[in-house]
Amino acid sequence: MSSSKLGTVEGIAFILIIILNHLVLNLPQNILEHCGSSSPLNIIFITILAFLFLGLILKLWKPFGNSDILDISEFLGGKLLKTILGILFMLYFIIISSTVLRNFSEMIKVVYFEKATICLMLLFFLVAAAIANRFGFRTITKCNLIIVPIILLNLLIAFFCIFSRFELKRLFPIWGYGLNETFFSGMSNLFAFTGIGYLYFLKPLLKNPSDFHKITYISIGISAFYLLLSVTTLLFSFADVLTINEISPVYLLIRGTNFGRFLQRPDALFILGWILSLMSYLSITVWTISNIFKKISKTADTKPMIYCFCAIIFVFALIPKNIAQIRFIQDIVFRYLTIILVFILGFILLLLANIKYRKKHPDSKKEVLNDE
Amino acid sequence: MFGENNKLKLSFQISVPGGSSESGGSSQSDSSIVTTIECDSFDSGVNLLNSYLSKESNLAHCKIIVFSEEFAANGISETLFTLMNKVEVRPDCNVLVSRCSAEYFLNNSKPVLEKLSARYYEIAPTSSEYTGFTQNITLSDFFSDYTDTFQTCYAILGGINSDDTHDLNTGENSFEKDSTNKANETLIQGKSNIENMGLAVFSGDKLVGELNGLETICHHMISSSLNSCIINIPSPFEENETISLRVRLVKNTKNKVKLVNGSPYITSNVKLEARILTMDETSKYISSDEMETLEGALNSYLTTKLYEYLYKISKELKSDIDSFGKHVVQNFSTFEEWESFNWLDHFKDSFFNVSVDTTIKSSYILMES
Repeated sequence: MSSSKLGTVEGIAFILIIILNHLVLNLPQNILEHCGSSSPLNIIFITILAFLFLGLILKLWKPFGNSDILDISEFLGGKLLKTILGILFMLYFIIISSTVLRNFSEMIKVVYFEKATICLMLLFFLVAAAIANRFGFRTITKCNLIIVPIILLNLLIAFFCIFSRFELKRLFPIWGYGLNETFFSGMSNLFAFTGIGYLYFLKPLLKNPSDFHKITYISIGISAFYLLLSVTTLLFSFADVLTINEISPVYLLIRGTNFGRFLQRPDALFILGWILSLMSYLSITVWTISNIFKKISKTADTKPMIYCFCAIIFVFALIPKNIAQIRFIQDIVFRYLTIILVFILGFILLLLANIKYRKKHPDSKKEVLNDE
Repeated sequence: MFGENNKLKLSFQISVPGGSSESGGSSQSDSSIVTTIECDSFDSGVNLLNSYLSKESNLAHCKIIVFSEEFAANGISETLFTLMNKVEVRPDCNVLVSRCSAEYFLNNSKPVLEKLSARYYEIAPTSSEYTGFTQNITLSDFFSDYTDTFQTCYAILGGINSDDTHDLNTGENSFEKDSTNKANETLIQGKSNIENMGLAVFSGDKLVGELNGLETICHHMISSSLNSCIINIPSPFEENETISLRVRLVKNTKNKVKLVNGSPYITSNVKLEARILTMDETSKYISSDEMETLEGALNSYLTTKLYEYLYKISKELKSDIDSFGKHVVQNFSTFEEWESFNWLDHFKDSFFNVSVDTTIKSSYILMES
């Protein structure tokens, strides 16, 4: 059984793949649109907040040992709460992954396959995710472990390529669109750390649950570093980044780069890496959804359900009529859904579960759910 | 450029497949064709071209975008955004403003020492690395500068060298004649050929003026983009003699901007290194005293030219192509304040303080005559 569990590095890669896929799409641009030149400051600010939040969450998680958020909700409010929370998280993952899938497919369609139908593009990725899930969790995480370093390197090279264009003075005006946008309403940019939503389900999957703290901090630390890197690169390189609407700004950055006169137009190599990255992200998300379903429905084998979840993601991905609607889902729905579900609901649930636990066990330090 | 009846006159120079592989020095006329279309918009022009060629044209290999002076002076915003909106147009293709019509430019451009015009256009703008007479401006650079709030955009200034243009030279002093002309004005005698000399300066999306070769060198010095260039100065030792020096920047130029009573006070410290190119048997400026005299002459000459250049871009062209605005933006805390200040409106009130510090290393091989 332990062989199907995640090691520390696999756990970090599991979380990193989530933010990496958002980074190559419009996440840095969303932050830049909100804060302007103060985006790097905003990212430092939300990173501090994210770490404080994680510190709090991990402290609140302590009594519940090797449980995930669904087990904790069951402890707090019984099966009903567990089912409601499970459905909410399933919906959350479906909405987010379908938007990422549609957005990326639209980008590939615009750049390379203008005449292809969007259904075909979506199916290309979803079939890969379904096949990966048929092979099982171990296969998905092992593949992900190979893909994540490639993407990390891929993005580093992409940012390094345009280093010569950097203009540090674009950091000014230092407060961008204002203090409010940088710090108060800018707090909503915490949605960038959407990987925390997956952390809620990670602990029971680990070979060594005591590494959960390490995995949490390292994965969110690397996510924050890449987020800062991508935003500063976009900010320092081009004044026109906010005029880009449809295509990933990171792609547009690397489009103009070449490695000397003999290796020109390397953008296709970067895109190839991102395609693998999206496949891995979808595989992990479909597995997470089916894992939640397994927990709330107590189904022994969820493999047949994989096709069903892929079909649901496919349908959700087809709902937006145009890019404006996709951008709306990304900018508004994704932003506030993450804040409400991951940061507010998750925290309240853990807090109430802690209160209940302390009432039940006023002087016990035992890990209640493990014992149960 | 503008069409007679329609909004646009769009010309395409298309390489003929295999046209360049023929032996015996193929000329431009047999390695490419030029098709001109009058149309309402860029895309309808491309559509008409597709209809005419019975092939779908793809701009993925477009190497240069040429605007005529007349068209650029009326504003190119719409065309610029249309081009940036096209996925197949690469951001690294060059932007050039032609002193003749774009159609004439393409019809008469005969690449020298290159068979493929695409290859020629790819390499030609890089000549600025050793001449300083122009700059390699890509579509991406141009668009980024256009959308920027603390600088304005500029493009390569090009033209066609022909017999008609040889008499247009405007250099006042004989020693400056090599560098104070623009494209279409050089004294080069040869077959009709593309000339990239100088820069086309924009304010917003409209062409407002042009810089000649020497002014472009000054722009490179101020914006720290100078690789190396050759500068002729009047000899401080003998009348009517000229000394040529190869000049390069020792370190990036330090520009500072202070707001004095609302007017920008701009100081620039240019640090240069030079080597003497002109030698004859009576050359006597290799000793340290003469070297100092020569340094003083070069400093004084360049300071005058830099002042002329800076006052030209601020008072005459009202266009900050050296990005001085980036030194002012740090005085503002929010975008709202910065935008309401409107830097480009204040730039015309700028006054300058330029200092040039040149170290003449030596000549190259000959030490003393």
